[in-house]
Amino acid sequence: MTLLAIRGLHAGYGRARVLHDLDLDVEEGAVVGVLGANGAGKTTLLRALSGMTWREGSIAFAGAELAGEAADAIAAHGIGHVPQGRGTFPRLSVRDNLLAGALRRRDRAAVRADLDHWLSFFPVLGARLRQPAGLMSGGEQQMLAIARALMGRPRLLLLDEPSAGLAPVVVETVVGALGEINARFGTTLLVVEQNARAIAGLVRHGAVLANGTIAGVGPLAELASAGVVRRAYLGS
Amino acid sequence: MSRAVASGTTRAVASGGTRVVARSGTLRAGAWAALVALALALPLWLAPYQNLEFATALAFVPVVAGLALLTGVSGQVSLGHGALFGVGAYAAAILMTRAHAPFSLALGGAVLVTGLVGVLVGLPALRVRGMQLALVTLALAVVFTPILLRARGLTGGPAGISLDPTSAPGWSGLASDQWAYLCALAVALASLAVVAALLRGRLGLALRAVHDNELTAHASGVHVARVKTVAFGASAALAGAGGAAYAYVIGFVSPESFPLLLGISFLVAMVVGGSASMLGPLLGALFIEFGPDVASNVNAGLAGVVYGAALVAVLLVAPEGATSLPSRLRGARRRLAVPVKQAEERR
Amino acid sequence: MARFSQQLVDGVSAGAIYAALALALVLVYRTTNLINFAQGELALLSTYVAWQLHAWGLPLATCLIGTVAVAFVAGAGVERLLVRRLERRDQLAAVIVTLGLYLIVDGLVRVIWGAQVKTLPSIFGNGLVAVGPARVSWDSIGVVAVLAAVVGALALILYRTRLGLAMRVAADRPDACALVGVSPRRMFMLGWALASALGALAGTLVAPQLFVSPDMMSGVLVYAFAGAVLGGLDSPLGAIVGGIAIGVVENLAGSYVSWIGPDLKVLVAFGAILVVLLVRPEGLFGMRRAVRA
Repeated sequence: MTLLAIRGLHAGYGRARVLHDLDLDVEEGAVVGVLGANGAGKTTLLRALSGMTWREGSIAFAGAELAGEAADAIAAHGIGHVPQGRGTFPRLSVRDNLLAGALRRRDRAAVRADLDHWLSFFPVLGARLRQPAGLMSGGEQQMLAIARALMGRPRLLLLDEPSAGLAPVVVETVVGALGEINARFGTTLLVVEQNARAIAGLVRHGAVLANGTIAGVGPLAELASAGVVRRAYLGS
Repeated sequence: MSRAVASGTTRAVASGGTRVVARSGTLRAGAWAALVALALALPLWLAPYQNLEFATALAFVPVVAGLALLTGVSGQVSLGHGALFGVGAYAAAILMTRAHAPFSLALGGAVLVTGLVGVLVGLPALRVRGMQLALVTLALAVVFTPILLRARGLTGGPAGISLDPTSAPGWSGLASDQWAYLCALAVALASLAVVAALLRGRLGLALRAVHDNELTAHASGVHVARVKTVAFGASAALAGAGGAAYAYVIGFVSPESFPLLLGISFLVAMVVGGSASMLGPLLGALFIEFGPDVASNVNAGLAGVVYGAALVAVLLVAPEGATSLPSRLRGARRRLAVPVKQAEERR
Repeated sequence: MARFSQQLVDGVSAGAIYAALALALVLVYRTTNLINFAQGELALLSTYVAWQLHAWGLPLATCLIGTVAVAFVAGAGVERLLVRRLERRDQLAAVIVTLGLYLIVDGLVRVIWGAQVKTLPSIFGNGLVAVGPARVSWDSIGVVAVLAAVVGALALILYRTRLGLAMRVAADRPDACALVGVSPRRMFMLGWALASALGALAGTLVAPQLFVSPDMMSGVLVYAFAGAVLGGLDSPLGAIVGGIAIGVVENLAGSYVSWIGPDLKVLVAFGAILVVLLVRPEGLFGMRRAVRA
């Protein structure tokens, strides 16, 4: 089923309008890579979806209209967002950061189980469990931010440059985790990522952004062969 | 709080075009000339007690101007300007009674002493970012009256210090209250000129840079702590000047004259009057001098409520104070290009 | 020796009040990053409300509990209606609004109840008990006990419940807490509500000793600020330790340092603030903020 239906989305920062009249459908369980040159609006799209910046238009998520909702309400609907840069809570411990990710969940036992699961998946977090998150390296904080989002068992997970600052081995682990939640829980993923090679195995569909609107959508292979991607990055 | 202190050039950039500069520049110079002329003529028409009230308001002007310099441009809040005002008043009073100094010397002494106190108090607080200055000055304001009461030898204790009645110099042909008024006017105008000059110069530039973004300012070579301390010292010195004028005008200083509430009143004056132009401190000073009279006709305690309500109302409606209202009305009709940074902030 | 322990006990008792108010200040600062200069005056207003309820014949305990509850709601209201509208614009403006509040509340109190000193009896009675060589009033013990219990409860909530986690999350990064579903606006309101309730509690507990008058809280406020600065403006534990420390030092200094005496005790608060800022600006327990460009 169509989990996310965007119609006529306009969004931007302050007075700058970045997205123009954008339409996009995302099926539940899909793993979609958001592609496009710098400034095309990839980050803006994610921020508009999670409510972090102003937007006009319609964002239908599992039947609910989210365009007018506040960011915390949107998160409560089951949309997780790992933003660009550090999204951790620096003064809280690693453990508190992870538990914070599960704040909207009511299934206590499952939360504990998830905590153990992700700590074993990302051992470095376990090593620093009681330390303030702000003292960790950038890469470790990125891992924490991703793990925290996973703790929320979101229906839709938005990731902005998840591999940024991570060593290749860690990137593999992260991609593995993403693949796992998609396979096990059917989590839909919308991933902005410059490092195309890293997510090539994970991502099956692409949405190409150019000049603030969708230039092409579909299976990655089709997009590549149709030259849509090349045109978006290099211009026609 | 206003970040832009209007000078002729700044207005030109916002309005665009040299023709507008010439027009607004001449207009403002003319308006000021008229205002000064009015102020000079006032004492000739008014009764002595009214002169006293206006003179007191004029004594407040340097303090409010100093606060505008500090807060409006560098973003720091001081709750202790009532105490600094008192330091200047007492310093001048002591010099005039003990050392028999003429007003001009007493004024200079008060400015120096208060400026020094400002630097000493401000230095620890301004080394760090944040609202620490507000806390230090709050403590200063609370500590001031007990110290005055205790240091009897210097300050005369609870009885305060009485000055010999001022007498106008023979050549002026003025009554003493008129002369005192004119002295206060001179101090007020001089302090406004000093603040305007400071803001236009390097200090003003540095202060605005610090207010905008401390980190960037620091990276650009602005010695942030020093700039902030100089600003606070200057605003303290200005408060001292006002205090000296106050002592001269009233002829009497006592420990009860400078409570914490006075410092807060000065802040009210700054906010209500606005820091968008040099007229702001004058308007603010007039507000806090004459406002309570109006309010206490209704009820004695109401003065505080009036102040507070005015403060809140101004902040909600016109954050840059009364002086920004004309430009706000104009701006409502005209569309100015908004710099990107302001647009981001509006998010 | 008896005098020393007496002063010590009095100092802890006074310090507990400062600690409570300091905690309220830190709560507001941690959650909304603002310094609420009206904290003392709001506590004062609550104290007058308690006095009024008592004057109308309600039993003391009901007055106190009712006042604290009203203060909770009022604190939320002030944040929602006043502070929030300005916080978005300018932090400086929001702080100045708290000063405006200070003036309004101060004026209101004088208008409604006048400047005459009023008395509020202590809920713990007037008795004394011997603690070692010192004589301590039940009132002092009661104040410390109640505040300790309240602070303990707050700590439990903050560190052991999901609500507490949500509050800490919002306090840490109000710009990012929405990502985990925490509404920063609701947490700000809660922070102010709790702080207001704490202030009311502090005011009503100290009223029997200080007597109810419009100037009652301005002195306390400075000590509370000194305690908060000493402990670290962003540390709840620091507020408590700092507040009690200031109370003890202030009492001892007033008693043993002859040139300070009872009237210049507030110099201790002033000096403490200056020294802390010079030596360790983030306070004893505060975290030195690494500045992120």
